[in-house]
Amino acid sequence: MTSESSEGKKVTLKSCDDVEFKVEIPVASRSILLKNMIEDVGETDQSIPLPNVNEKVLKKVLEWCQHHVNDPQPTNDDDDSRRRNTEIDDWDQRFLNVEQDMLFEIILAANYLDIKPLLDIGCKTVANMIKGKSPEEIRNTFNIVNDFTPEEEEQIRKENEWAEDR
Amino acid sequence: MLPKEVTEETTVTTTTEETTLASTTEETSATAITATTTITTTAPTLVTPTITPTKPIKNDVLIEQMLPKEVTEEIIATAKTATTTTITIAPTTPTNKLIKNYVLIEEIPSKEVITSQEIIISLTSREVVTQEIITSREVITPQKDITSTKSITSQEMITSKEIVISLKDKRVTSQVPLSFNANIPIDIFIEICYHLPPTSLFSLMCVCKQFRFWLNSSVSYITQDIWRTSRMKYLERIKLRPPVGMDELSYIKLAMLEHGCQFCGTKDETPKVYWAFRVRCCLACLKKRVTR
Repeated sequence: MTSESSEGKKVTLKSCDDVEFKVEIPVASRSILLKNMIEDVGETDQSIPLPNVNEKVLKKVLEWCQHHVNDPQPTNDDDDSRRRNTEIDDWDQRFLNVEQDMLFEIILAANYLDIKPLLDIGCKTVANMIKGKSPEEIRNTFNIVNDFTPEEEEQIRKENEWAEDR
Repeated sequence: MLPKEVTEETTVTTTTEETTLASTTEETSATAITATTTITTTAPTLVTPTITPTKPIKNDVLIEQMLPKEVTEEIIATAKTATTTTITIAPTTPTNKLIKNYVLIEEIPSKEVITSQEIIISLTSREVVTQEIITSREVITPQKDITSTKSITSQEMITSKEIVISLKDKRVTSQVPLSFNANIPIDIFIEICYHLPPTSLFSLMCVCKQFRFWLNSSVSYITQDIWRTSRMKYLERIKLRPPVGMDELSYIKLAMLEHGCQFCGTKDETPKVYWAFRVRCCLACLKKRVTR
């Protein structure tokens, strides 16, 4: 497919709750999964079902793809550099200022659709929610049940004695 | 010239799909109707399995308990007839996890709570959806059968269970709150950890069993990599590799996280790390324990 022929061409994505989205190919191609699929299948009138993503999440993810449509595609070997970079730009921060459920759903969708930069900022956002918190505070933030037995708890307390008042 | 090629390509994929479908339907004739309906809607996804980037999860060592490969594949094979939707999903979905839980109930007691919760959810949602998709209602096993997973052996029962799962997947996913420790697959957990300083990893380790298991392994390559990445990124003072035979966590704890003497616990003086002995202790305790 030549580059000019892909201009303005659209592809239809279908969420798991059967809502269709017509998306320009460069936008959809932010997802490596979709990019490869479109390259392999070529033009098609059939919609691409995404059984893992519901309408709400897909809409959100596509909004991100639209905004970042002109970003350079990430390469495979810059894993370290993206991990080192802790910044999240303002737009992305606002974009991810959603309820926790939604945040995790976006992360899962980004993982499934293989949108590395989105997965990355999602994980950074979660990491920022963890930073500087005590175990108890982390449990409260994420609604995690403390499932340690009293014995294990005691063991952990002992192990951490030397590390107290960090 | 393009369209021609394209249509050819698509037809090829669909036919192969149909054959696989036909071969599998024989086994579960009871759900045949459901199968055809779901598959027609999702037919184009057939491309997905081939393309889906199988994520290189290098954590075999780390998550032995999450690898019910034989069992899951088997189940997925049967599920193929029931719902294509469930199968085409990449390894990160709650559904996959759910299936695993069903199989593994006996092996992982800690997950029992979650599983039963999800069963209830799927059962309640069933009421709403059954009329739409499932034509033969008798196939669905009553609640008792589903809860006693141990006793399930017959194909029929498994298939109906699968239906319930898939229905849950379709209708309820948006309503069930995702939880960090139960629904987040390990590869995402790892990604999150790559952005955390050692002190936070340390706190995370004390949050629940699952996190502790993931972060406390001295042999898992992934665990070591998480701690190493965190150390290199956040601990300016220890860039050297840990001494031979010492894992990252012990290294970081000794060098950075622990403060008092390991023997008497005093914090009056700042105890020194004696690397040769791999201890942090105060002068008094050192003298007591060392013979010349």
